[in-house]
Amino acid sequence: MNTRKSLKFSTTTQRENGVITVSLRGELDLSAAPDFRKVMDPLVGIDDADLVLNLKELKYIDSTGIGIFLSILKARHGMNSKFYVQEVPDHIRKLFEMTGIAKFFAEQENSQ
Amino acid sequence: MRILIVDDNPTNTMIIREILKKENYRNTVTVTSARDMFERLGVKDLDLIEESGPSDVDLILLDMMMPEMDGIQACRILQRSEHLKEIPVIVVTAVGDSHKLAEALDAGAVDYVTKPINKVELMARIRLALRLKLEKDWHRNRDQRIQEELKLASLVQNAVLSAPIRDSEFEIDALYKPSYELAGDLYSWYSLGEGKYAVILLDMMGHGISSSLFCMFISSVLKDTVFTYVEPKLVIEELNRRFIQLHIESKLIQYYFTAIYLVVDTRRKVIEYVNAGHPPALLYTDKKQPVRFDQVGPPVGLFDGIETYPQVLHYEGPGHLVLYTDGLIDGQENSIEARQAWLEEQLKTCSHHFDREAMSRLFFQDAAPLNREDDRCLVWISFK
Repeated sequence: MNTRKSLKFSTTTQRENGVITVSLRGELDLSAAPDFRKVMDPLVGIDDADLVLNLKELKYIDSTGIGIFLSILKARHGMNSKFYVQEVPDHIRKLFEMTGIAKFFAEQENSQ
Repeated sequence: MRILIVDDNPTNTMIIREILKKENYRNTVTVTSARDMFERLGVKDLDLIEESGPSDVDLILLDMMMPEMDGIQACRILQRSEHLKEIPVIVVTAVGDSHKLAEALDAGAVDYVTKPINKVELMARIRLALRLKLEKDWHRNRDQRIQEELKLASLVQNAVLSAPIRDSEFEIDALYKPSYELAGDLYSWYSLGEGKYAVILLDMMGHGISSSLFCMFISSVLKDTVFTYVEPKLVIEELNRRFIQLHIESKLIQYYFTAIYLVVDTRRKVIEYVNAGHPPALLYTDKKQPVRFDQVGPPVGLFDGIETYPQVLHYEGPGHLVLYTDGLIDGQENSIEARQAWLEEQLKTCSHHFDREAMSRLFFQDAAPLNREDDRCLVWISFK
């Protein structure tokens, strides 16, 4: 288990039964984006495990944060590895819907 | 290299001068009180020290214990001047009181030497102070240069934004407030002839320099694309194709933009639009509820192909159609629905005519929470 912390954004990474789960906590915006990329960079290329983002404790995300999710989605899609988000809070689900990207994550979720 | 020595005791002054002279620092000036120091720095009235300009002094050696005004008080006053506070101050003090030393450092001194003055130590402290000063100056100059560059760049960026149109059937204008010198929002409109107009508002991922460069790229292909393809579905598809060509090597960075593009036919009173992940535009006619342009597809620039959901709707004038970026509703603590509802409510009570001042008051004056400031843009279309 590996934890990265900053004042307003932190992640916890766990690997269990072939699933890597990164739990996001706090506010993921332009200033937190470099840290989050650093966390995700070594994980995205792992092809013998599913990659999951748990958003239960995610309070806020801006377009830069969504951009990172989408880049992970594309990278995982390109290598035929599973990626999905789980426990999406209502306000973030609503944002995904408004931005027209909800279905990208939903399809992935259904395919697990 | 000019060093100003401030000390009421002539013996001390002489010792310091001798040390400096041996080390080849010959350009020294001495004064015997804090007041004389200010005078030497060009300050005529201490109450107006904020207004004083830069001085030719590079470093001050300031005695702590002096009659009338001591070194600590002098340091504090120096800090009030934007220019004079840049001169490094080393306080010279008799051994002992660490509280006093701390006070002097807190008051703005960068370092201290104790009496009796040790030559090696004094010279090391002077070198250190000058080195820090040099580094600080370097950063300040670079910041200034970047600021100036950014201001120029923002002028360039502003130049691509469309000017208002005031035709008999159709008027369009915008309010725009970038969160930074350079922006990630872009609006553009074109008169297509025969009472038709094409309008686009887009919001690039992120904000700041990189987003603004992407915006400028899109801006450069926009006019061609609109006049070649006109139709919303085709225009968005073409912009997607163009944008995908910009490939960023770095992993985990995905640029994209949300956009709403529409073509208004003022003779047939028809609006066609495609909404690519953008907050819904709002059409207010004399009906009670606004029409939301919320048939939303994914944003532009994600995949090789893009799904669009083109919509066609009729309107009865007069009316107003408002396009905006999420910076207008974002950043508040409430839920998206609540913010959206608030915006709709505000726009409902407006007349169809664009009231720049009222809109500016409503949507552009409150401060967003720290670090959440986004570009804010509102485009207002009036139908007669």
